[in-house]
Amino acid sequence: MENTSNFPMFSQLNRLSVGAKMIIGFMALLALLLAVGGGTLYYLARVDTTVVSLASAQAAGTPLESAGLNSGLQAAGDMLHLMRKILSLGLVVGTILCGIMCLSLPRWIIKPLQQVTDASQKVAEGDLKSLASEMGMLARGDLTGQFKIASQPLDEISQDEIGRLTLAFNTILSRLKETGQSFSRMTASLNNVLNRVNTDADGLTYTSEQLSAAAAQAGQATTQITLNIQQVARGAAEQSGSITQTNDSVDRMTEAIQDISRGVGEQDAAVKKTVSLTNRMTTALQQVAESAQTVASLSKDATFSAHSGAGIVQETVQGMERIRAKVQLSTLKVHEMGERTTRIGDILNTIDDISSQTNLLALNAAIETARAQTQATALTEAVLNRQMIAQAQLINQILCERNLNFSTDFWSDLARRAGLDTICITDRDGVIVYAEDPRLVGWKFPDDPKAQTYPFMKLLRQSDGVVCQPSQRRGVDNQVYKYVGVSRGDQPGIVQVGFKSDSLAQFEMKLGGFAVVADEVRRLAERASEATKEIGGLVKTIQKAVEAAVLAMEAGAQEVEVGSQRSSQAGQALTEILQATEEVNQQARQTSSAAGEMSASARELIQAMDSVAKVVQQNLAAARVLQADSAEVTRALEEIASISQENCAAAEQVSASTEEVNAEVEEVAGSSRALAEMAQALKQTLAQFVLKSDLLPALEDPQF
Amino acid sequence: METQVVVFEVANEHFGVDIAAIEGILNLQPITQLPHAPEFIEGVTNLRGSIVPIIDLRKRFGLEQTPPTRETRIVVAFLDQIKAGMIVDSVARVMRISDELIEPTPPMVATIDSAYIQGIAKLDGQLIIILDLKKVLDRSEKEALPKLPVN
Repeated sequence: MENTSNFPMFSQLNRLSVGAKMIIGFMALLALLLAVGGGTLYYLARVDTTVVSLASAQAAGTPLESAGLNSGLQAAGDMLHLMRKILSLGLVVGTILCGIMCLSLPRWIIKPLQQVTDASQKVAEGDLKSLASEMGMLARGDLTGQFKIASQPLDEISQDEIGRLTLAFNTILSRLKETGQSFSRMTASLNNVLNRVNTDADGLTYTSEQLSAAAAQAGQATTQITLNIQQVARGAAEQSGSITQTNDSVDRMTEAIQDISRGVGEQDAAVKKTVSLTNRMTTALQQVAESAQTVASLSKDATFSAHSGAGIVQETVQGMERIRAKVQLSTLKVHEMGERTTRIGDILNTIDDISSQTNLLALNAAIETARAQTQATALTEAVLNRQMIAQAQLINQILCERNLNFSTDFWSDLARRAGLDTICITDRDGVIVYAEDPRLVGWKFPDDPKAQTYPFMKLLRQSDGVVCQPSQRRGVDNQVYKYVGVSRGDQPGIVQVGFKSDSLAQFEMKLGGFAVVADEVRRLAERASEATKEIGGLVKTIQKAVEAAVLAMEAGAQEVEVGSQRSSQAGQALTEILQATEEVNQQARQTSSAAGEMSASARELIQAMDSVAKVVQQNLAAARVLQADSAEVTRALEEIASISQENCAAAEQVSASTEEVNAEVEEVAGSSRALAEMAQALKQTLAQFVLKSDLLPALEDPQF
Repeated sequence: METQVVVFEVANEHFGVDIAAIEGILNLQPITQLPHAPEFIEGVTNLRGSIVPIIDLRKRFGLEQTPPTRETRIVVAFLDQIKAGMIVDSVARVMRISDELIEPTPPMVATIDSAYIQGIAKLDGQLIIILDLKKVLDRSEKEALPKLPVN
């Protein structure tokens, strides 16, 4: 702004706006242009007029010289000369003006703008940035930052827009400065407040802890008080109880006194009764003396009886001893018997074994017999078959003899002589043609597989077949027969020979007898086994009985022992009785004399009793006085008791109040604990701020 | 006709076996157990010098096993050509039973398990089950019997 003062001639201009300044510049240029142009045009017009007048003069034929050519040309030349001067001057002046304008434009307009811009830049990069960082620190809780505006306000350059801009800029700057100050004040006061809060929180923590401790102490104290009061209450109650007890005791005492009083009364009565009893006793004692003499005489009799009893007891003891010896002998014998029966049992076991073996043998014998029977039957059958085949073949031979008369008699005769029961011969169709029995002739062997004769049918188709059949019922008359058949020799047909079942019996081997014997042996063995079992049972019964007998004997022996002992004891007892009787005798005598002495003593006793009665009367009077006194004591004690009960109630009330106080103290303690916790929390929160203690006095700074 | 049977008891039931099949009756004697023998074979025993396999009829008939008693016997018999001993509770006697008294097994009873029942003999107050010894063992069991000298 210093350069502005170097141009005092611009001081008026500075008040104008930039537009006005430019208009003035341009107006100056325009005026110059108009002056130059106007002059030029004026002189051009005069030149033109001159030229036109010259031209018209030429046309009219007027000589030019006459028409003032020379002067006209002279004038025109002057004009052009003047024009040249004006133009040159205008050009020079215009150039100077333009140069001035060009030089002054940056000075007047651009420089102030530049200044404002620079200042703004400085504010933006310096102050505003630091403000922003301060704000950031504050936001983080750091209060140590300090904000100051470094930029200076701009000088007033002009009155124009740029000047107003500068003014506005300065205003912003001053506002900014105020803001900075406010910010500093704010941080300072915040810092201050927080420091105070911190201090207060410390104080609060300390105080609340103290409060808590105090409350705890108060709680303990009240608890102690409560305890004490409870003790007092208990003490009062106990006192009350004690008083009640005392009261009771006094009551009891009163009662006792009454009892004593009563007792003394009774005593009195008893003394009187005693006197009368003693009188009666005296009479009785006389009777005793008499009785004692009777006893003495009776005890003599008893002594005699006891002597004879002792003798009998002695005999009994001896008898018992003899019985015992006999019982012991019996026991021994019974034991022996027991052992022998055990041996019988052993022998019976052997017998049972043998009978079992015999049974087995008999069974096996029966089996062997049966098998032998089976084999014998098979053998008989085989032998018989061979014999019968031979006979049938012989009959075949006979059939070949043509010259024989095959009548029924012939065949019956043949059968009888051969020992056969039947002979049958069929033709090729199986129809019986020859037989020993005329009833069989003409009977046809049925073609039925179930028929008895069917096995023989195959012989019709064979030339020398043989069929042996065991005995069974034959088809023709249902009688039991054994048949053997061969193929007929002279033509197809069957030759059959057979035995009746009755005849067969002569060939059988009879082994059944052996089987019967075996069965009998088996039965005998079974019976022996059963018998041994029975005997075994008996032996067991005997053994049991013997055991019981042994036990009974032993018990008897013990009883005898006990009896013997008791007899001895009885003997002793009798001896003792004897002695005792002697003593009784003596005692009776002594009693008699003592009774006499006692009688005298009783009389003395009666006298003594009279004096006792007097004392008792005195006691009775004293007890009555005592009774009256004790009633008073009771009343006093009852009063005390009621007072102590009141005490007790009061103490209980106090105790209750103390408990309430205690509860409240506990509440306070709880609250103070909560307070301490809150202070702690507050301190933790404060710890998030970074404080600056030197800012504290800034609060008092009048600047803020 | 009549059959001679040996009557023995197993679990209080009377059983009869044709006497022809019976070799003899023994008291119970020590039985040697054979390793890896089929379960129905108790073991073997020495019968007058020959080794005979022993079958427990209680086990065979699916009855409860009981300890042997004084009455326990071994019935030596031919089970279809194979000589074997059968353990029975007791042997009662040898008796003849008329064939008419023997009734065939009712079809309901004749399941596979009771195939060895030949018939039931009704005597005075008692029933005797007649066994068919050939069927007491099935084919595989017969094959499983140790090949031992058979008289």
